[in-house]
Amino acid sequence: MTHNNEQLLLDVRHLTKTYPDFQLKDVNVSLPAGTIMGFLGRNGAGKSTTMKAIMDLIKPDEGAIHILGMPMPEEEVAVKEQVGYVGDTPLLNNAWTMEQTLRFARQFYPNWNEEAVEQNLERFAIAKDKKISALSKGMKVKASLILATAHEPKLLLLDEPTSGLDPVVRTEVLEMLLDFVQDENRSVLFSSHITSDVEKIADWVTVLDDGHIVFSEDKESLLDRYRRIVIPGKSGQQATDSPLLFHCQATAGGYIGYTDRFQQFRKFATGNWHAERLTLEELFVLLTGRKEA
Amino acid sequence: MNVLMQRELEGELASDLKERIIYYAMYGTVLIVLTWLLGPRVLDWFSIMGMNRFVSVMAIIVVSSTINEKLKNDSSNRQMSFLQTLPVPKSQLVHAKFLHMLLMWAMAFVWLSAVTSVNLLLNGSWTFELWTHVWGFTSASLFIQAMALLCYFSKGYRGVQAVFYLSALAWAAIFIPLGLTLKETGLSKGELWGTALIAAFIICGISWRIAVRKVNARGIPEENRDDFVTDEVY
Repeated sequence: MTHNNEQLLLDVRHLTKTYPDFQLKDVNVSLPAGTIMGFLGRNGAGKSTTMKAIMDLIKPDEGAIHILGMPMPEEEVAVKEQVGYVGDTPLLNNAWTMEQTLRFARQFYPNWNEEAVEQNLERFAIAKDKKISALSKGMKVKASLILATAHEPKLLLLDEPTSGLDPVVRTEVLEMLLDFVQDENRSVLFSSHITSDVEKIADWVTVLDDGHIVFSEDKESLLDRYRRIVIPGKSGQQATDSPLLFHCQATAGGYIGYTDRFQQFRKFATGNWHAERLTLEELFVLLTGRKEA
Repeated sequence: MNVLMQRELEGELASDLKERIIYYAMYGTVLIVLTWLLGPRVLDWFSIMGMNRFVSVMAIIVVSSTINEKLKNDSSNRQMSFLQTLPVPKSQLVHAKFLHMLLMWAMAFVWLSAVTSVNLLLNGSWTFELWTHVWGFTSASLFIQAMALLCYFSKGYRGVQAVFYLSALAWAAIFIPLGLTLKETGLSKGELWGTALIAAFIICGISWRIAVRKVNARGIPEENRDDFVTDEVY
Protein backbone atom coordinates (compact mmCIF):
# COMPACT_ATOMS: atom_id res chain seq x y z
CA MET A 1 0.00 0.00 0.00
CA THR A 2 1.40 3.38 -0.94
CA HIS A 3 0.26 6.80 0.09
CA ASN A 4 2.06 9.50 -1.79
CA ASN A 5 3.45 12.32 0.33
CA GLU A 6 0.69 11.94 2.87
CA GLN A 7 1.30 12.17 6.59
CA LEU A 8 1.32 8.59 7.80
CA LEU A 9 -0.19 8.11 11.24
CA LEU A 10 0.73 4.44 11.16
CA ASP A 11 3.51 2.76 9.25
CA VAL A 12 4.13 -0.94 9.80
CA ARG A 13 6.96 -2.57 7.86
CA HIS A 14 7.77 -6.27 7.52
CA LEU A 15 6.04 -7.26 10.73
CA THR A 16 6.68 -10.89 11.55
CA LYS A 17 5.68 -12.92 14.56
CA THR A 18 5.95 -16.66 14.90
CA TYR A 19 3.95 -18.83 17.29
CA PRO A 20 4.18 -22.62 17.42
CA ASP A 21 1.04 -22.98 15.30
CA PHE A 22 0.79 -19.66 13.51
CA GLN A 23 2.97 -17.14 11.73
CA LEU A 24 2.36 -13.51 10.89
CA LYS A 25 4.42 -13.02 7.75
CA ASP A 26 5.91 -9.78 6.52
CA VAL A 27 2.89 -7.59 7.21
CA ASN A 28 3.03 -4.03 5.86
CA VAL A 29 0.35 -1.49 6.73
CA SER A 30 0.38 2.25 6.30
CA LEU A 31 -2.39 4.58 7.26
CA PRO A 32 -2.55 8.27 6.34
CA ALA A 33 -4.42 10.89 8.34
CA GLY A 34 -8.18 11.13 7.88
CA THR A 35 -8.63 7.50 6.91
CA ILE A 36 -10.62 4.58 8.24
CA MET A 37 -8.90 1.38 7.30
CA GLY A 38 -10.91 -1.82 7.52
CA PHE A 39 -8.64 -4.65 8.49
CA LEU A 40 -10.45 -7.74 7.26
CA GLY A 41 -9.65 -11.33 7.91
CA ARG A 42 -11.15 -14.59 9.06
CA ASN A 43 -10.87 -15.57 12.72
CA GLY A 44 -7.25 -16.55 13.24
CA ALA A 45 -5.95 -14.62 10.22
CA GLY A 46 -3.60 -12.53 12.37
CA LYS A 47 -5.59 -9.32 12.88
CA SER A 48 -5.34 -9.34 16.68
CA THR A 49 -1.66 -10.25 16.57
CA THR A 50 -0.98 -7.31 14.26
CA MET A 51 -3.00 -4.93 16.46
CA LYS A 52 -1.29 -6.13 19.62
CA ALA A 53 2.13 -5.81 18.03
CA ILE A 54 1.31 -2.23 16.99
CA MET A 55 0.32 -1.45 20.60
CA ASP A 56 3.42 -3.27 21.89
CA LEU A 57 1.24 -5.70 23.83
CA ILE A 58 3.26 -8.45 22.18
CA LYS A 59 6.82 -8.25 20.88
CA PRO A 60 7.20 -8.94 17.15
CA ASP A 61 10.09 -11.10 15.96
CA GLU A 62 10.91 -8.72 13.13
CA GLY A 63 9.68 -5.49 11.64
CA ALA A 64 9.45 -1.78 12.31
CA ILE A 65 6.45 0.16 13.58
CA HIS A 66 6.16 3.94 13.44
CA ILE A 67 3.18 5.79 14.84
CA LEU A 68 2.91 9.51 14.08
CA GLY A 69 6.46 9.25 12.83
CA MET A 70 7.71 7.94 16.17
CA PRO A 71 9.27 4.48 16.48
CA MET A 72 7.64 1.86 18.66
CA PRO A 73 8.42 0.74 21.30
CA GLU A 74 11.21 3.30 21.77
CA GLU A 75 8.75 6.19 22.02
CA GLU A 76 6.03 4.12 23.66
CA VAL A 77 4.89 6.73 26.19
CA ALA A 78 4.70 9.65 23.74
CA VAL A 79 2.97 7.44 21.16
CA LYS A 80 0.37 6.09 23.57
CA GLU A 81 -0.66 9.61 24.53
CA GLN A 82 -1.86 9.88 20.92
CA VAL A 83 -3.33 6.42 20.45
CA GLY A 84 -6.59 4.87 21.60
CA TYR A 85 -7.01 1.10 21.66
CA VAL A 86 -10.02 -1.16 22.08
CA GLY A 87 -9.09 -4.81 22.41
CA ASP A 88 -10.85 -7.90 21.11
CA THR A 89 -12.38 -8.20 24.57
CA PRO A 90 -12.99 -5.07 26.67
CA LEU A 91 -10.00 -4.33 28.90
CA LEU A 92 -12.14 -3.04 31.73
CA ASN A 93 -11.97 -3.88 35.41
CA ASN A 94 -15.29 -5.50 36.29
CA ALA A 95 -14.89 -4.55 39.93
CA TRP A 96 -14.82 -0.83 39.12
CA THR A 97 -17.58 1.55 38.17
CA MET A 98 -17.37 3.58 34.97
CA GLU A 99 -16.58 6.61 37.14
CA GLN A 100 -13.62 4.83 38.79
CA THR A 101 -12.36 3.67 35.40
CA LEU A 102 -12.49 7.16 33.93
CA ARG A 103 -11.01 8.77 37.06
CA PHE A 104 -8.08 6.37 36.92
CA ALA A 105 -7.41 6.72 33.18
CA ARG A 106 -7.69 10.52 33.03
CA GLN A 107 -4.64 10.90 35.26
CA PHE A 108 -2.41 9.59 32.47
CA TYR A 109 -3.47 11.95 29.70
CA PRO A 110 -2.69 15.67 29.51
CA ASN A 111 -5.29 16.22 26.78
CA TRP A 112 -8.22 14.42 28.40
CA ASN A 113 -11.52 15.87 27.17
CA GLU A 114 -14.04 15.63 30.01
CA GLU A 115 -16.74 17.35 27.99
CA ALA A 116 -16.51 14.77 25.21
CA VAL A 117 -16.59 11.98 27.80
CA GLU A 118 -19.79 13.37 29.35
CA GLN A 119 -21.37 13.73 25.91
CA ASN A 120 -20.50 10.18 24.94
CA LEU A 121 -21.72 8.79 28.26
CA GLU A 122 -25.02 10.53 27.61
CA ARG A 123 -25.10 9.47 23.96
CA PHE A 124 -24.64 5.81 24.91
CA ALA A 125 -26.74 6.07 28.10
CA ILE A 126 -24.00 4.71 30.36
CA ALA A 127 -24.46 5.60 34.03
CA LYS A 128 -21.14 6.53 35.62
CA ASP A 129 -22.00 4.86 38.91
CA LYS A 130 -22.79 1.52 37.29
CA LYS A 131 -20.29 -1.26 37.82
CA ILE A 132 -18.56 -2.50 34.68
CA SER A 133 -19.64 -6.05 35.57
CA ALA A 134 -23.26 -4.90 35.31
CA LEU A 135 -22.84 -3.64 31.74
CA SER A 136 -23.88 -5.75 28.76
CA LYS A 137 -21.32 -6.73 26.13
CA GLY A 138 -22.47 -3.93 23.85
CA MET A 139 -22.29 -1.40 26.67
CA LYS A 140 -18.78 -2.57 27.54
CA VAL A 141 -17.68 -1.99 23.96
CA LYS A 142 -19.21 1.49 24.07
CA ALA A 143 -17.54 2.15 27.44
CA SER A 144 -14.23 1.01 25.96
CA LEU A 145 -14.72 3.36 23.01
CA ILE A 146 -15.46 6.28 25.34
CA LEU A 147 -12.28 5.48 27.25
CA ALA A 148 -10.20 5.07 24.09
CA THR A 149 -11.32 8.38 22.61
CA ALA A 150 -11.40 10.49 25.80
CA HIS A 151 -7.86 11.79 25.29
CA GLU A 152 -8.61 12.78 21.69
CA PRO A 153 -6.13 10.37 20.10
CA LYS A 154 -4.85 10.86 16.59
CA LEU A 155 -4.98 7.14 15.90
CA LEU A 156 -7.65 4.73 17.04
CA LEU A 157 -6.95 0.99 16.92
CA LEU A 158 -10.03 -1.17 17.23
CA ASP A 159 -9.70 -4.91 17.37
CA GLU A 160 -13.02 -6.50 16.34
CA PRO A 161 -15.09 -3.96 18.29
CA THR A 162 -18.39 -4.95 16.66
CA SER A 163 -17.93 -8.70 16.90
CA GLY A 164 -20.85 -10.33 18.70
CA LEU A 165 -22.91 -7.14 18.93
CA ASP A 166 -26.47 -6.73 17.73
CA PRO A 167 -27.05 -4.62 14.59
CA VAL A 168 -28.34 -1.59 16.55
CA VAL A 169 -25.27 -1.39 18.77
CA ARG A 170 -23.00 -2.06 15.77
CA THR A 171 -24.54 0.86 13.96
CA GLU A 172 -24.08 3.12 17.01
CA VAL A 173 -20.43 2.12 17.26
CA LEU A 174 -19.87 2.71 13.54
CA GLU A 175 -21.54 6.12 13.78
CA MET A 176 -19.22 7.05 16.60
CA LEU A 177 -16.24 6.09 14.47
CA LEU A 178 -17.49 8.21 11.60
CA ASP A 179 -17.85 11.15 14.01
CA PHE A 180 -14.34 10.51 15.26
CA VAL A 181 -12.76 10.91 11.82
CA GLN A 182 -14.63 14.14 11.12
CA ASP A 183 -11.36 15.67 12.29
CA GLU A 184 -9.18 14.86 9.30
CA ASN A 185 -6.05 14.62 11.39
CA ARG A 186 -7.31 11.39 12.87
CA SER A 187 -7.39 7.85 11.56
CA VAL A 188 -8.88 4.53 12.54
CA LEU A 189 -7.58 1.02 12.00
CA PHE A 190 -10.61 -1.16 12.45
CA SER A 191 -10.23 -4.92 12.38
CA SER A 192 -13.23 -7.10 11.72
CA HIS A 193 -14.44 -10.23 10.05
CA ILE A 194 -17.80 -8.55 9.44
CA THR A 195 -17.37 -7.27 5.90
CA SER A 196 -20.60 -5.25 5.91
CA ASP A 197 -19.27 -3.08 8.77
CA VAL A 198 -16.05 -2.44 6.92
CA GLU A 199 -17.94 -1.70 3.71
CA LYS A 200 -20.09 0.86 5.54
CA ILE A 201 -17.33 2.99 7.00
CA ALA A 202 -13.89 2.16 5.62
CA ASP A 203 -12.05 4.22 3.00
CA TRP A 204 -9.33 1.67 2.67
CA VAL A 205 -9.46 -2.12 2.94
CA THR A 206 -6.64 -4.41 3.95
CA VAL A 207 -7.26 -8.14 3.87
CA LEU A 208 -5.19 -10.47 5.96
CA ASP A 209 -5.33 -14.21 5.41
CA ASP A 210 -3.33 -16.90 7.16
CA GLY A 211 -0.86 -14.35 8.51
CA HIS A 212 -0.12 -12.44 5.34
CA ILE A 213 -1.66 -9.47 3.54
CA VAL A 214 -3.70 -10.50 0.51
CA PHE A 215 -4.35 -6.95 -0.63
CA SER A 216 -4.52 -3.43 0.72
CA GLU A 217 -6.33 -0.94 -1.42
CA ASP A 218 -8.70 2.00 -1.56
CA LYS A 219 -12.18 0.49 -1.11
CA GLU A 220 -13.83 2.24 -4.06
CA SER A 221 -11.10 1.48 -6.58
CA LEU A 222 -11.02 -2.09 -5.34
CA LEU A 223 -14.75 -2.53 -5.84
CA ASP A 224 -14.49 -0.78 -9.23
CA ARG A 225 -11.72 -3.07 -10.37
CA TYR A 226 -13.44 -6.38 -9.68
CA ARG A 227 -16.51 -7.70 -11.45
CA ARG A 228 -18.35 -10.97 -11.79
CA ILE A 229 -18.75 -11.64 -15.50
CA VAL A 230 -21.82 -13.63 -16.48
CA ILE A 231 -21.78 -15.23 -19.94
CA PRO A 232 -25.15 -16.73 -20.81
CA GLY A 233 -25.51 -19.82 -23.01
CA LYS A 234 -23.22 -22.74 -23.68
CA SER A 235 -21.55 -20.97 -26.57
CA GLY A 236 -19.74 -18.68 -24.15
CA GLN A 237 -17.15 -21.26 -23.12
CA GLN A 238 -14.56 -19.72 -25.44
CA ALA A 239 -14.87 -16.39 -23.66
CA THR A 240 -13.82 -18.01 -20.37
CA ASP A 241 -10.37 -18.63 -21.89
CA SER A 242 -9.66 -14.89 -21.56
CA PRO A 243 -6.53 -14.21 -19.47
CA LEU A 244 -8.50 -11.40 -17.83
CA LEU A 245 -10.89 -13.87 -16.22
CA PHE A 246 -10.25 -16.21 -13.35
CA HIS A 247 -12.25 -18.69 -11.27
CA CYS A 248 -14.39 -19.47 -14.33
CA GLN A 249 -17.07 -22.08 -13.87
CA ALA A 250 -20.05 -23.46 -15.71
CA THR A 251 -23.51 -22.74 -14.34
CA ALA A 252 -26.95 -23.96 -15.36
CA GLY A 253 -27.43 -20.96 -17.61
CA GLY A 254 -23.92 -20.49 -18.98
CA TYR A 255 -20.61 -19.47 -17.42
CA ILE A 256 -19.39 -17.24 -14.63
CA GLY A 257 -15.93 -15.80 -14.20
CA TYR A 258 -14.27 -12.98 -12.30
CA THR A 259 -11.99 -10.20 -13.43
CA ASP A 260 -9.77 -7.88 -11.47
CA ARG A 261 -9.21 -5.64 -14.54
CA PHE A 262 -12.74 -4.78 -15.46
CA GLN A 263 -11.94 -1.68 -17.55
CA GLN A 264 -9.52 -3.70 -19.69
CA PHE A 265 -11.95 -6.60 -19.96
CA ARG A 266 -14.69 -4.24 -21.12
CA LYS A 267 -12.50 -2.95 -23.93
CA PHE A 268 -11.62 -6.33 -25.35
CA ALA A 269 -14.54 -8.57 -24.53
CA THR A 270 -16.88 -9.52 -27.32
CA GLY A 271 -20.13 -11.45 -27.50
CA ASN A 272 -22.93 -11.61 -25.04
CA TRP A 273 -21.97 -10.97 -21.42
CA HIS A 274 -22.83 -8.73 -18.52
CA ALA A 275 -20.92 -7.63 -15.43
CA GLU A 276 -22.05 -7.59 -11.81
CA ARG A 277 -20.47 -5.46 -9.14
CA LEU A 278 -19.27 -7.48 -6.16
CA THR A 279 -19.95 -6.66 -2.55
CA LEU A 280 -16.94 -6.48 -0.27
CA GLU A 281 -18.04 -9.74 1.30
CA GLU A 282 -18.16 -11.51 -2.07
CA LEU A 283 -14.77 -10.10 -2.94
CA PHE A 284 -13.35 -11.13 0.41
CA VAL A 285 -14.60 -14.72 -0.01
CA LEU A 286 -13.33 -14.80 -3.59
CA LEU A 287 -9.83 -13.64 -2.70
CA THR A 288 -9.32 -15.55 0.47
CA GLY A 289 -10.49 -18.65 -1.37
CA ARG A 290 -13.00 -19.81 1.17
CA LYS A 291 -16.72 -20.15 1.38
CA GLU A 292 -17.40 -18.22 4.55
CA ALA A 293 -16.12 -14.94 5.93
CA MET B 1 3.89 5.97 39.41
CA ASN B 2 1.74 7.40 42.23
CA VAL B 3 -1.40 6.61 40.28
CA LEU B 4 -0.25 3.04 39.70
CA MET B 5 0.55 2.63 43.39
CA GLN B 6 -2.83 4.00 44.40
CA ARG B 7 -4.39 1.44 42.10
CA GLU B 8 -2.35 -1.37 43.68
CA LEU B 9 -3.28 -0.26 47.18
CA GLU B 10 -6.94 0.07 46.44
CA GLY B 11 -8.69 -2.07 49.03
CA GLU B 12 -5.69 -2.18 51.34
CA LEU B 13 -5.07 1.48 52.11
CA ALA B 14 -6.53 3.90 49.63
CA SER B 15 -10.23 3.67 50.36
CA ASP B 16 -10.63 2.64 54.00
CA LEU B 17 -7.36 3.02 55.86
CA LYS B 18 -9.03 3.76 59.20
CA GLU B 19 -11.28 0.71 58.94
CA ARG B 20 -8.32 -1.49 58.08
CA ILE B 21 -6.28 -0.27 61.05
CA ILE B 22 -9.19 -0.91 63.42
CA TYR B 23 -9.77 -4.36 61.89
CA TYR B 24 -6.16 -5.50 62.25
CA ALA B 25 -5.84 -3.99 65.75
CA MET B 26 -8.96 -5.92 66.82
CA TYR B 27 -7.68 -9.07 65.16
CA GLY B 28 -4.34 -8.75 66.97
CA THR B 29 -6.08 -8.12 70.30
CA VAL B 30 -8.24 -11.23 69.89
CA LEU B 31 -5.12 -13.31 69.19
CA ILE B 32 -3.37 -11.92 72.28
CA VAL B 33 -6.41 -12.67 74.47
CA LEU B 34 -6.61 -16.17 72.95
CA THR B 35 -2.94 -16.74 73.74
CA TRP B 36 -3.54 -15.61 77.31
CA LEU B 37 -6.52 -17.94 77.60
CA LEU B 38 -5.04 -20.99 75.86
CA GLY B 39 -1.46 -20.35 76.94
CA PRO B 40 0.40 -21.06 80.21
CA ARG B 41 -1.37 -18.27 82.13
CA VAL B 42 -4.81 -19.95 82.13
CA LEU B 43 -5.49 -23.29 80.34
CA ASP B 44 -1.90 -24.13 79.44
CA TRP B 45 -2.91 -25.89 76.22
CA PHE B 46 -0.35 -24.16 74.01
CA SER B 47 3.04 -22.51 74.55
CA ILE B 48 3.40 -18.80 73.78
CA MET B 49 5.85 -19.54 70.99
CA GLY B 50 3.43 -22.10 69.57
CA MET B 51 0.74 -19.42 69.45
CA ASN B 52 3.19 -16.91 67.96
CA ARG B 53 4.11 -19.37 65.23
CA PHE B 54 0.44 -19.89 64.50
CA VAL B 55 -0.11 -16.10 64.28
CA SER B 56 2.93 -15.77 61.99
CA VAL B 57 1.72 -18.49 59.63
CA MET B 58 -1.69 -16.82 59.54
CA ALA B 59 -0.04 -13.49 58.66
CA ILE B 60 1.92 -15.08 55.79
CA ILE B 61 -1.23 -16.71 54.48
CA VAL B 62 -3.20 -13.43 54.68
CA VAL B 63 -0.49 -11.41 52.87
CA SER B 64 0.09 -14.10 50.24
CA SER B 65 -3.65 -14.47 49.62
CA THR B 66 -4.07 -10.71 49.27
CA ILE B 67 -1.31 -10.51 46.67
CA ASN B 68 -2.48 -13.66 44.90
CA GLU B 69 -6.05 -12.32 44.76
CA LYS B 70 -4.82 -9.02 43.31
CA LEU B 71 -2.84 -10.80 40.58
CA LYS B 72 -5.80 -13.07 39.85
CA ASN B 73 -8.21 -10.14 39.54
CA ASP B 74 -5.82 -8.22 37.32
CA SER B 75 -5.39 -11.27 35.14
CA SER B 76 -9.09 -12.13 34.84
CA ASN B 77 -9.89 -8.49 33.97
CA ARG B 78 -6.89 -8.25 31.61
CA GLN B 79 -5.69 -5.25 33.56
CA MET B 80 -2.04 -5.65 32.60
CA SER B 81 -3.10 -5.39 28.97
CA PHE B 82 -5.18 -2.33 29.83
CA LEU B 83 -2.32 -0.70 31.73
CA GLN B 84 -0.03 -1.31 28.76
CA THR B 85 -2.34 0.73 26.55
CA LEU B 86 -1.76 3.75 28.82
CA PRO B 87 1.17 6.11 28.28
CA VAL B 88 3.34 4.62 30.99
CA PRO B 89 6.60 2.65 30.70
CA LYS B 90 6.14 -1.08 31.23
CA SER B 91 8.89 -1.08 33.84
CA GLN B 92 6.68 1.09 36.06
CA LEU B 93 4.02 -1.60 36.02
CA VAL B 94 6.61 -4.01 37.41
CA HIS B 95 7.82 -1.46 39.97
CA ALA B 96 4.26 -0.85 41.18
CA LYS B 97 3.66 -4.56 41.77
CA PHE B 98 6.93 -5.08 43.63
CA LEU B 99 6.50 -1.90 45.69
CA HIS B 100 2.98 -2.97 46.60
CA MET B 101 4.29 -6.35 47.65
CA LEU B 102 7.03 -4.76 49.77
CA LEU B 103 4.53 -2.43 51.40
CA MET B 104 2.24 -5.34 52.23
CA TRP B 105 5.23 -7.19 53.61
CA ALA B 106 6.26 -4.18 55.74
CA MET B 107 2.73 -3.86 57.13
CA ALA B 108 2.69 -7.56 57.99
CA PHE B 109 6.12 -7.22 59.60
CA VAL B 110 5.01 -4.32 61.82
CA TRP B 111 1.74 -6.02 62.75
CA LEU B 112 3.41 -9.34 63.46
CA SER B 113 6.17 -7.71 65.49
CA ALA B 114 3.60 -5.84 67.56
CA VAL B 115 1.29 -8.80 68.18
CA THR B 116 4.02 -11.32 68.98
CA SER B 117 5.92 -8.83 71.18
CA VAL B 118 2.79 -7.96 73.19
CA ASN B 119 2.10 -11.69 73.44
CA LEU B 120 5.55 -12.33 74.83
CA LEU B 121 5.37 -9.35 77.21
CA LEU B 122 1.92 -10.15 78.61
CA ASN B 123 1.97 -13.91 78.63
CA GLY B 124 5.65 -14.72 79.12
CA SER B 125 8.84 -12.72 78.81
CA TRP B 126 10.10 -10.80 75.77
CA THR B 127 13.62 -11.54 74.60
CA PHE B 128 15.33 -10.46 71.38
CA GLU B 129 16.08 -14.08 70.48
CA LEU B 130 12.42 -15.06 70.78
CA TRP B 131 11.29 -12.02 68.81
CA THR B 132 13.63 -12.82 65.90
CA HIS B 133 11.33 -15.63 64.79
CA VAL B 134 9.32 -12.81 63.14
CA TRP B 135 12.31 -12.30 60.82
CA GLY B 136 12.17 -15.96 59.86
CA PHE B 137 8.47 -15.98 59.00
CA THR B 138 8.57 -12.65 57.20
CA SER B 139 11.63 -13.78 55.21
CA ALA B 140 9.54 -16.72 53.99
CA SER B 141 6.73 -14.36 53.05
CA LEU B 142 9.07 -12.04 51.14
CA PHE B 143 10.75 -14.92 49.31
CA ILE B 144 7.47 -16.57 48.30
CA GLN B 145 5.94 -13.33 47.01
CA ALA B 146 9.06 -12.28 45.11
CA MET B 147 9.08 -15.66 43.34
CA ALA B 148 5.36 -15.37 42.58
CA LEU B 149 5.82 -11.92 41.04
CA LEU B 150 8.78 -13.09 38.99
CA CYS B 151 6.60 -15.92 37.67
CA TYR B 152 3.75 -13.47 36.97
CA PHE B 153 5.95 -11.26 34.83
CA SER B 154 7.65 -14.21 33.12
CA LYS B 155 4.84 -16.66 32.46
CA GLY B 156 1.64 -14.90 33.47
CA TYR B 157 -0.78 -15.79 36.24
CA ARG B 158 -1.07 -19.42 35.23
CA GLY B 159 1.94 -20.57 37.22
CA VAL B 160 1.65 -18.23 40.18
CA GLN B 161 -0.19 -20.53 42.58
CA ALA B 162 2.18 -23.41 41.95
CA VAL B 163 5.11 -21.05 42.56
CA PHE B 164 3.56 -19.97 45.89
CA TYR B 165 3.56 -23.58 47.12
CA LEU B 166 6.92 -24.54 45.58
CA SER B 167 8.67 -21.49 47.03
CA ALA B 168 7.17 -22.18 50.47
CA LEU B 169 8.47 -25.75 50.24
CA ALA B 170 11.90 -24.59 49.07
CA TRP B 171 12.19 -22.07 51.90
CA ALA B 172 11.07 -24.67 54.44
CA ALA B 173 13.49 -27.26 53.00
CA ILE B 174 16.41 -24.89 53.56
CA PHE B 175 15.63 -23.13 56.82
CA ILE B 176 13.65 -25.64 58.91
CA PRO B 177 16.53 -28.18 58.98
CA LEU B 178 18.90 -25.34 59.84
CA GLY B 179 16.58 -24.21 62.64
CA LEU B 180 16.44 -27.73 64.05
CA THR B 181 20.23 -28.10 64.06
CA LEU B 182 21.08 -24.72 65.50
CA LYS B 183 23.26 -26.13 68.28
CA GLU B 184 25.35 -28.14 65.82
CA THR B 185 25.83 -25.26 63.44
CA GLY B 186 26.76 -22.87 66.23
CA LEU B 187 24.36 -20.21 64.99
CA SER B 188 22.02 -18.26 67.25
CA LYS B 189 18.33 -17.89 66.33
CA GLY B 190 18.93 -14.22 65.60
CA GLU B 191 21.81 -15.05 63.23
CA LEU B 192 19.80 -17.73 61.43
CA TRP B 193 16.64 -15.67 60.92
CA GLY B 194 18.66 -12.54 60.19
CA THR B 195 20.46 -14.44 57.42
CA ALA B 196 17.12 -15.72 56.13
CA LEU B 197 15.74 -12.17 56.01
CA ILE B 198 18.81 -10.73 54.26
CA ALA B 199 18.76 -13.62 51.76
CA ALA B 200 15.06 -12.97 51.09
CA PHE B 201 15.75 -9.27 50.46
CA ILE B 202 18.58 -10.11 48.05
CA ILE B 203 16.40 -12.64 46.20
CA CYS B 204 13.58 -10.11 46.06
CA GLY B 205 15.94 -7.49 44.58
CA ILE B 206 17.25 -9.94 42.00
CA SER B 207 13.72 -11.07 41.08
CA TRP B 208 12.64 -7.45 40.69
CA ARG B 209 15.55 -6.71 38.39
CA ILE B 210 15.00 -9.84 36.31
CA ALA B 211 11.27 -9.04 36.01
CA VAL B 212 12.02 -5.51 34.72
CA ARG B 213 14.56 -6.83 32.22
CA LYS B 214 12.24 -9.57 31.00
CA VAL B 215 9.34 -7.16 30.59
CA ASN B 216 11.48 -4.63 28.75
CA ALA B 217 12.81 -7.32 26.42
CA ARG B 218 9.79 -9.55 25.90
CA GLY B 219 6.80 -7.62 27.20
CA ILE B 220 4.27 -8.69 29.81
CA PRO B 221 2.78 -12.17 29.24
CA GLU B 222 -0.63 -12.07 27.63
CA GLU B 223 -3.63 -12.51 29.89
CA ASN B 224 -6.81 -14.33 29.19
CA ARG B 225 -10.21 -13.63 30.69
CA ASP B 226 -10.29 -16.83 32.70
CA ASP B 227 -6.71 -16.42 34.01
CA PHE B 228 -5.56 -19.91 33.55
CA VAL B 229 -5.82 -20.40 29.82
CA THR B 230 -3.60 -18.38 27.55
CA ASP B 231 -4.91 -19.57 24.19
CA GLU B 232 -3.66 -17.09 21.68
CA VAL B 233 -6.19 -14.97 19.80
CA TYR B 234 -4.61 -14.39 16.44
